[in-house]
Amino acid sequence: MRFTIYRYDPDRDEKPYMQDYDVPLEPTDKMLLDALVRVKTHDDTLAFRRSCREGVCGSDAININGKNGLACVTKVADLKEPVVLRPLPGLPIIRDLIVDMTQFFAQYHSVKPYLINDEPPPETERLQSPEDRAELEGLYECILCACCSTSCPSFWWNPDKFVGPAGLLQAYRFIADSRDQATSERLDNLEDPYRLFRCHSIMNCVDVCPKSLNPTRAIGKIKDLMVKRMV
Amino acid sequence: MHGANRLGTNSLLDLVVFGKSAGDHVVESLRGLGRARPELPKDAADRTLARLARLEGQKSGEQVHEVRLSMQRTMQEHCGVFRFPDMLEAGVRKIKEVQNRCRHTEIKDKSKVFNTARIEALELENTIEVAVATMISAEARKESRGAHDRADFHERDDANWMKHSLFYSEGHRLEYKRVHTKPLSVEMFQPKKRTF
Repeated sequence: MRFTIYRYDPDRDEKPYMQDYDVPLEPTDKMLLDALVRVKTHDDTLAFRRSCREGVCGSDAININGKNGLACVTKVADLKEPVVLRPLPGLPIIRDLIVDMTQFFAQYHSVKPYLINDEPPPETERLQSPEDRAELEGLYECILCACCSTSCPSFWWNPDKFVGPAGLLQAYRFIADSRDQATSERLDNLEDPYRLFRCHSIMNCVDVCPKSLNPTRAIGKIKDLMVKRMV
Repeated sequence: MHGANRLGTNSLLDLVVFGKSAGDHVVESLRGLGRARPELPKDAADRTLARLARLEGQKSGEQVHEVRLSMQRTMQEHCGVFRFPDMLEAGVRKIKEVQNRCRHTEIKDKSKVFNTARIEALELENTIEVAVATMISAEARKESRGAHDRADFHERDDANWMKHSLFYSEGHRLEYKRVHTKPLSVEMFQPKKRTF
């Protein structure tokens, strides 16, 4: 199978370049990650992140034939050759397919992605009705792979000021949680021309999410709550 | 930990419980020490640096992925779910051979930046230690217990084998430690055979 892969090692290369590989795959190489691991057996200098190899850890997010996705859940059979692989767009590149996620996680942490509840914890769990729990469907499943935020033109422009789809999905995940008491503090935190309102419903995030989540809808719900509390 | 473990998710429970315990212990034992720290031995980093230097200087040798595949196949074939005495004996010999090959792996990537080839080479050196320990301990344990299921000793044997295996990397030495049956702080479950 033919690949064209983005290469850059700051220790060795003046500037980035695209390298062609033509590597025979084994019948067991079903997913793009299998193919990448196979390529690495031919050239161990090719660097990429991977861990769980089953779409749970979110480490192997890359740009595949122009679209962000996880290598481990992308079928080789579905790809047009040569398969063009680049690092996630918009973040600084450390080496080859590996990007620096600092900015992405800084935005994620800025929404306080944890339960805030000042009441003393009960003897057992903080219980929730099945209906309240259902509100979290489609929100809690995010694996922080960054496919969405790095496909978002607003995030490319303002990665330091715009929280981005991944962070905003998590903001809404706690706003929607019946056990969380910090809704108004969370809305204050996002009431800003950039942090929330740079989202222009382009919906690239929805298009690329490997877990089929919908950050745009969650962002819309935050905007609704902002309007409601003003009127 | 609580005597009613099953295999899956044991590691997560262990991480949470013993992670907290280890953290608490570190904090407690550092208390009152102030900024004073005991001097590290002069050669504290030597073994680690030697591993890196070996990989750095290795100009020819086997590829990491080839040796790793041999390790995986050997464990799968000789130390799998159902274990047989002849397979285990052959497995001990084979996995030691694979361990020797690990000392001569070569990586082409010598970069100082995010070198995943070097990480994989070091990981292989770490996992082969566990593979060797598993194979040798399994071959020596002449009973079935938990996930260790031997065709020639199909029953659990508390009289002879109610003891922990302790494997020492130096000389591939095996020792045993008795199981504490006296509860430390909670009521004890009586040991019993695991059935489904």
